[in-house]
Amino acid sequence: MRDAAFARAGEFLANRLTLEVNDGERIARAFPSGREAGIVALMASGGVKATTGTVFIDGFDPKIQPTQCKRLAGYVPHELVPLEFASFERYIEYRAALWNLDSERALGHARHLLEHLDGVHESFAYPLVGALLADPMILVLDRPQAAYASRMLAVAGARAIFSTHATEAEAAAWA
Amino acid sequence: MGVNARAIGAIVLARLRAQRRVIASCSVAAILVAFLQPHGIPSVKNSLEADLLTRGVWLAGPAFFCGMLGIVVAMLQRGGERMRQLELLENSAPIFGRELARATAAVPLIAATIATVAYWIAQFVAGFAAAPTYFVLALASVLASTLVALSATLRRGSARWLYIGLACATSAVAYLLAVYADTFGTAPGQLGHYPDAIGVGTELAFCAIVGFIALRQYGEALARYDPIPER
Repeated sequence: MRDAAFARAGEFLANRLTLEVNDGERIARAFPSGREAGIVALMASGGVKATTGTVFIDGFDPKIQPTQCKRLAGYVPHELVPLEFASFERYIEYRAALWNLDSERALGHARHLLEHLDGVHESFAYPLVGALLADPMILVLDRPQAAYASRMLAVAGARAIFSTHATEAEAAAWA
Repeated sequence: MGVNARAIGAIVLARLRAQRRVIASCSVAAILVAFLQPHGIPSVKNSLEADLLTRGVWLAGPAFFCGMLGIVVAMLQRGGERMRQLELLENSAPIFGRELARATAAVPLIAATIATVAYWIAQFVAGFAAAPTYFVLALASVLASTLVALSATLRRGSARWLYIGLACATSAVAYLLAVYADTFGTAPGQLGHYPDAIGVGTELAFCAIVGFIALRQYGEALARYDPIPER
């Protein structure tokens, strides 16, 4: 991200930010509000296009190559898993369809990841497992729970990780 | 099945599950209104010889009421916690805006189609079934107005109301074309030389053109859309 900001109707909802996350690097950043933290996480994963400045994910620009960016970045939303998915298996099948992954292999991989998240509430475990299914180059977490930081980071592995937070204390747990 | 067809299918099924109660409610409402709608004209008519009053009554109920249901279901495609969660998942997936547009448009179109079919069946049971041609005309009008309303979900403030107004106007224009198009150039209250044919043709052509443009525009707007709530 270089001078990346997001504005709507002339109002800056996310202020200018310059940031680089390299392979294997982990960066946790606190923002003045939860809303700004959420918008920055979306910009970092290619889900929202920066109004000013630039964002590149491994050389791809979300404004020009959004689908390539979304293949490289795994996004874990702050919001809970949708209630429509009656089971873990149904949720994984849905995500496998969206990312065009083999359902059986994705389900096996997901169960393996979930075993390592024992004790983490499913509302936080399922989205992380879903984001890791496609083996993303960078994992972007929007305001993750500090209490689960160590276990979730262990499952995420050595990939680049960027997390946004609403307080410095929460960011410290993920740094 | 290709990658995108699979993703589109998954999105449609997830959204249909999320809105199953809304779809069921719309169908029940359509059935009730079809039973309650004042008829006032003979139940059996040859559609090619139907007079203006009959044509107007045949089309008004399903076109306007089911059109309104389609607009409501279209507006429910975004906003609210439940749809917000699905929206974030879809937005983070590697699919193009136009594919996402087709998938999200399919749900209100399916809901509107079910409601229109339910309306027609209820009319049939009540002994007031319009000719099949009029079911097709009503359905075309409902689908076109639903597609126009989808663009309202991506706008805020006055722009949103403008699109809702356009969706309502689409219903009204389609209705006027279907009922009155073949009276142009004839004496008041008289039909043209080819009863129905002009009305049916112009209404279907109008709905097809409006629906196609609306879906294209919705796809382009969705590709630029940022899923960030008002507050």
